[in-house]
Amino acid sequence: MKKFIGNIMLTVGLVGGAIASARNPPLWTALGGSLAIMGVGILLRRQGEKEELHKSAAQGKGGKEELKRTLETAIAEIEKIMEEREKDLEKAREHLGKILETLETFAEKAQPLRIEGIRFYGEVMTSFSKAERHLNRAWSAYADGYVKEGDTYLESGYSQLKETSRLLNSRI
Amino acid sequence: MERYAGQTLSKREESYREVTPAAIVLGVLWGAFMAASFTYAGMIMGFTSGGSAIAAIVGWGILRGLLKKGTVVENNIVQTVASAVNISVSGVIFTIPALYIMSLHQEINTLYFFLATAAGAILGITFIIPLRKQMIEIDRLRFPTGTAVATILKTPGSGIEKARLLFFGMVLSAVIYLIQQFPIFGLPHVIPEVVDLGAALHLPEWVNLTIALSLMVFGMGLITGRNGLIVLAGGVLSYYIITPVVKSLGWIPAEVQGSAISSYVYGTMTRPLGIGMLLGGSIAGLILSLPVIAVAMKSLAQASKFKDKNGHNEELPIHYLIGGAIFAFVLLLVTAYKLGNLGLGRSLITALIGVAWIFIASLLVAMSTGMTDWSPVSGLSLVSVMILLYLTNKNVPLTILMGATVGVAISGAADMMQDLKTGHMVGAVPSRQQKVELLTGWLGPIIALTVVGLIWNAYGIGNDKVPAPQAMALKSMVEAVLGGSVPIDKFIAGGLLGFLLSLSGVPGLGVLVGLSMYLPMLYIIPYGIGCVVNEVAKRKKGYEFIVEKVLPFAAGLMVGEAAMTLLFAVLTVAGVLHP
Repeated sequence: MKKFIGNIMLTVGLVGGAIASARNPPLWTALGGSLAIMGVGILLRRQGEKEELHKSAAQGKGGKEELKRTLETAIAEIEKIMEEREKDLEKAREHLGKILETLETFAEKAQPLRIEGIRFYGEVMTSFSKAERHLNRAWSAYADGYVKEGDTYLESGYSQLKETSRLLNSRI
Repeated sequence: MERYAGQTLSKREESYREVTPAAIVLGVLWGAFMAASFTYAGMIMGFTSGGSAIAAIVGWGILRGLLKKGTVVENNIVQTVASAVNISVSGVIFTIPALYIMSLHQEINTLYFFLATAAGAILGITFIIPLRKQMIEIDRLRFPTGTAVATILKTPGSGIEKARLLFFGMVLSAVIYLIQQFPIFGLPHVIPEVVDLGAALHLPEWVNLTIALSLMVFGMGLITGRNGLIVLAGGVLSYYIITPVVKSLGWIPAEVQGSAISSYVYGTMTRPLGIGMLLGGSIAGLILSLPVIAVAMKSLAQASKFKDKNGHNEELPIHYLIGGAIFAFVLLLVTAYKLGNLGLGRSLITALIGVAWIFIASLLVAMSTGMTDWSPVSGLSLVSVMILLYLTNKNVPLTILMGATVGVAISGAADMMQDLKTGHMVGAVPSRQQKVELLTGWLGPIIALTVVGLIWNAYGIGNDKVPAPQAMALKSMVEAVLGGSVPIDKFIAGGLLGFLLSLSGVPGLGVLVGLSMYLPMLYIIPYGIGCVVNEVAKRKKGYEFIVEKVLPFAAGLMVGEAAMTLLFAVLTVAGVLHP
């Protein structure tokens, strides 16, 4: 509810402020009032968002639990790829492509981590993105037939995903 | 074993091809070809194009088709180099021809043209490198062009279905664009470039509901998704809330009537407000991101110490960035001191503020392109001119020259970030991309400046044959600033709104709303429709559908029209077309 009211106040303040600013010259007093409404809206919005995130994290929806599950699944799937690449490289590469698509959603799901602190969020995403880039390189190398390069980066991406998982677990 | 489109899978034992002489030579040659074509065409038609996607396709044709050994990451280097060489064209043709038009070009030695624009190319690239981690890895900005190019690079290995969708999108948008240009060939006007939906619905003349029928812009929206919905909402606020309210309150001069009302509100009210919001929003974004930037810088410094198994750094060592920034600062200082008669103290301040402004403008442009694919270059140029005229004691030649530095820098920054996004998606090593861009980015301004000089000698500039519309616009900006008619109050009011919006907790909100007030509605609508289609498809069919079907098709839509603009530029240079 707080977030909803905050959003409305933010929108009303923006529309009022934009109209007041559009006049030649701007209506500075009206703009000041609009900025104040926006300010209160922002406070409510941020508070509401924090509460919602804590609530969903406590219920196990979204938040770190879901992120951990996503990572664990990806790590387990990569282990399967490491086995199947010996038998069928093409199938392993396709499998890797699917995992990379799944990992793309990690970033969206990771937004709640911001409530743990922006630095922590930055550290997790930096680690995760490195893993993702290395897995992307493994995909490209396999597609080009450079198996050794692909293997090297698959293993590096795998280790980096484990590192991301360790980082996440460090804040339980 | 299954084969996939364009691929003969054979296990290779040699090291993975990435930065190769073939990739660099091909990138430079293709980039130079595009730079020369777009310089000439841009001065006649008023637009340029990045050309990354076309370079990626040409790269595939030559590296894999002719040389039979290209790789995904090697082709990524081709498009990185080609777009780095080509992209600075817009920074040059928006500014330098204005000096010719005002007959001020002889006041500056040609060498300074090269030095100032080369400094811009280096500054833009070096400043944006530390922000890669924040924008691509942490904030996960979409960079629609970068995403489209990555889709093209990966298509040969992604299966026949994706290749088909990409090809279908390309052909569809190329054919539609070609049909829209029929009148140039003396053929009937079958599909218009714009549709006035407002007139068709019998809405009042002041309601601007004109839509550009551009599949490229629609494709940009398709790739952007949710972020673009804010741009659409901002456009609605600007055109369908502010305009009628302002009209009903009687804030518009009585002589402004009919369809001119919408243009008046846009030109004197919402556009300058939008520029202010962009600035305020990006400054707030920068402040909010400082803790993350600190993490990114720390990680960058650590990563540059570690080498991979081949002994290469994954991240460019921090001293490259410091060295590049100092080098460019010195070039700006020398330019200001030698050309401006400003004295050492004022030259130092000019160079320092110039460098700081380039940093903020580069950040803003990279954020805008990252979130929407649009870069507000003309708005930033207005602010640049305002700042520089003040700093240089209203020295117009020096202001325009340093304006070229800023223009080249911000174009280069946006391009570098798009290329790095592509690189991330194909698994390129960032430091390699950054090095080749630093090594080749300064070539573009030299090519563009040479072509501008040749055009001046052959035809003159600012006439019927070479109208140079962007340079004429800059000339008007300079005159407006000198005449004291810059809407600084709007910039301040917009800056406050944008600053506060960016504190809302929605990343980049101030920049997105500012951009939507700055852009013409003409393009916001097709772009917004693309964003809505993306969002609906994602909710109904899931994220996998977006990756598997929507992205390759959207990439095709962007490439087809872009390829046609290059073709038309070449035909114009060759004298076949006279638009």
